[in-house]
Amino acid sequence: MRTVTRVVFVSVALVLALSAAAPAHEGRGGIDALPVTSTRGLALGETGLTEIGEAEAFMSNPSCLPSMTGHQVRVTYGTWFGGLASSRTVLVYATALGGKVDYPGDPSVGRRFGLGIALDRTGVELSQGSGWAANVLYVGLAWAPVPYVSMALAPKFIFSSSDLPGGEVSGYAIDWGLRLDLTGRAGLGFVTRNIPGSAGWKDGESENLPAVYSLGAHYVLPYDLKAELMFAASGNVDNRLGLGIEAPLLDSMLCVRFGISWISGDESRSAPTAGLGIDLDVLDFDYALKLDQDWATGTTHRVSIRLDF
Amino acid sequence: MNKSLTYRRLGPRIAGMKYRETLLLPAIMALPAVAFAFVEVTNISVRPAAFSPNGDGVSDSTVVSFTTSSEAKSVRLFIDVVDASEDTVAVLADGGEYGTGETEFTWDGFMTGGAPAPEGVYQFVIVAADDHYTTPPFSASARLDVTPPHFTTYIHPNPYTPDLPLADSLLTVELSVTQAEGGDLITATISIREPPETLCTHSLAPADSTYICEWDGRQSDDGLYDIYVRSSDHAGNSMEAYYEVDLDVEAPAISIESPAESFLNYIPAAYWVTATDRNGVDSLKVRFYAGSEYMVPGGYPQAECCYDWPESLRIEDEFLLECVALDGVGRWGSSFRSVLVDTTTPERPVIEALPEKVGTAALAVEGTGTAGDSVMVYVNGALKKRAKISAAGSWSVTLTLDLGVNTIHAVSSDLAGNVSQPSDTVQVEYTEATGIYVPEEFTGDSTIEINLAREASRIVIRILSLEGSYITAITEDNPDLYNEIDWDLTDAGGKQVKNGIYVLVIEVAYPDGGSEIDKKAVIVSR
Repeated sequence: MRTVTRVVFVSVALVLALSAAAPAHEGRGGIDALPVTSTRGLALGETGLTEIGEAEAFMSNPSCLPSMTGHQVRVTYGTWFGGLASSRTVLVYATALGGKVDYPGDPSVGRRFGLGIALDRTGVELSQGSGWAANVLYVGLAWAPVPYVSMALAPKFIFSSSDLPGGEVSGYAIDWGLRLDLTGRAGLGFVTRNIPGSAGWKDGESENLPAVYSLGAHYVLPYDLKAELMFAASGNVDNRLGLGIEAPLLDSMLCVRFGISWISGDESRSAPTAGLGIDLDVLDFDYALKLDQDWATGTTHRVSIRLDF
Repeated sequence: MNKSLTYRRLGPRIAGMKYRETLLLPAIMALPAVAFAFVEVTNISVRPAAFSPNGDGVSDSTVVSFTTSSEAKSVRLFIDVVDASEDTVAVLADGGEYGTGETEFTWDGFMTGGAPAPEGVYQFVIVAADDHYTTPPFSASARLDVTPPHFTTYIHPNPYTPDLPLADSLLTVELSVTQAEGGDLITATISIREPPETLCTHSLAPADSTYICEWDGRQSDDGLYDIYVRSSDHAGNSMEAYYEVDLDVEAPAISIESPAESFLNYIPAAYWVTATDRNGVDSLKVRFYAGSEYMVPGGYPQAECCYDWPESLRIEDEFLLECVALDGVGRWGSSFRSVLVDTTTPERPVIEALPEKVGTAALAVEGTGTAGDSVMVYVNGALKKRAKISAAGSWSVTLTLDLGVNTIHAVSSDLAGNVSQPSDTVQVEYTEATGIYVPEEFTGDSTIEINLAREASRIVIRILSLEGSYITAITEDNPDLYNEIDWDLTDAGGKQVKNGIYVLVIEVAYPDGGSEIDKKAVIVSR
């Protein structure tokens, strides 16, 4: 336990120290400015920081990796910004390594370490038809010192592909994650994103990426209803609060999900979310929907398929 | 040396002797010389032998020097300055004690009493004495001269025109020198510019009375030059004088003041010619066609005047107005101007058919007209473009239209400046296509162009991050149909946004309650 405490404190101190760098432009915005959610997390109001056993979830919180069983590959595709020609494609591979560890909240058995690799591509058509895409390569490395605590970091390498010479950008960032299983029914997750993080534009200045702090929790209600909560804060983008609930049906072969995401700021808004998941043993299918305001991201859809082996 | 005179002057001051007794001094002095070593005066010299006490710092005094020897350590010296009349005019030493050896005395040319001595030859009479012996008088002469060598100068030819065929190619400076003696130095300097160029320096021989110096000015520029002549003698007296030489190698300057243009759209009533030269203009002639006879304008030569254009030549034609002038040294100059007199109004140009409506500001306009003329194209009354009508009689320009209806017409003008009647007017309406035009890359303040198809009550541009976070909003109430809205790349808090991808959500609200939303993604990078 003393070792875990020491590691936690060192990690927090390191995160706070590295986040002190001043950006070139002090206003809002920037690239890679929000927590990434899995398809399931999107359906649950853009939550998912305490999700386990799911490869795509390591992009939300890499500390979930030790909870993996076997090997997983997931492909996700969706629209990104409603009313705009845009898309998001994710390819993820994740697995757990090392000795077995029992996870209280999961009937399956986790392991001491976890490894994940993901390629996340978000493409958008610019105002006059040129294409631009941000490509982010995630490498997640996680460690579970005890069965109910896991921690991780995920270095990210960012590079763009663009028709415009001035639109080329490259950079790096590190996400840090911590997950605590408090009881068999409740868990907490904490993630910092982009600390440190920097991106340089071909014809522009290098800037620090916006730092984002996320806190998530889940609780298993009666009838195996699962509630998820997440709060994300940043000085550079809107704060967000997400809440969702998942209902397993047909012996958990089918899951129905609902949620809502509140977005604060000068023009606060809320966006309902919904989705479903079908678990066919080695094959898993998920769908999510988000209904944002027309003047914002509008309606977006996302589908994904997971293969266990 | 005139010893008798010297003795007569010095005798009374020689110890105990009467004037007549001094006549016996040579015999008296010869006797003791057999038994004693006498006082002696040797090496007598006068420098300079000629001097000019005129205060100019050159040879203002002369020095007599000699050497005395005696068994005694000192001798008494008597030195008188005696003029040609054998009168003593100054006393340089009057029996004072002086050490033996080399001794010198200076005479400044002033007589006893302070008056300046007149010009002439003077003798320095020197007598030395000790306790046993008195020398006979020794003398040396010097010339006092305060008169400079005078000269008169004759410079010819002047004006100097070395390039004309029959004129002298060299300038002669002839000096006639008076009151000079052989050995005096005469210099003639042509002062053209600083530093002056010295042409000649000559030392007069005793028989010289004239001296000639020549200057070749053929490689020099036209202008007035100074000749500086100076003479000086050995006594330091000098004389100098300046003379002006007119080197004329340029033709008279002729200017056809009027008509000043080569193309006239009127019949000229007069012309104006000026001819100027430093040595005057003797003749002015003019003709109106190449090869025709020259005529004297106004019937008499005149360097500058306004003359009537000949009555018989008041027609449309192409003239070659040529003027020639003769200056005072016989040099001709000429000037000419081609003048086209054209009073015919050119034909008006024709504008080819144009579309009634266009969607871009740039409009190519073509037409026809008279070859060689110029065409001026006006849009809404303002001159926009000029073009030359080609040899084939066509022209074209590209206009930048104003939004709305543009009324276009053209006029043509010929070389003489005659302007045609306006062409038929053509109306073209420029309307921008409706839509939203946003640059893809924002590197500074950028403009969002919104062209509406109908009247709107409000335009709201919300700027979001690619993740949907609100950045800022720009609102335009009661917008025009054509709007240019600027974003200074600041967020709602007034801070510059980070580099990244932003989505501009443009919402146009209409008075009937309807609205439209369009979204444009842009890159902000700077």
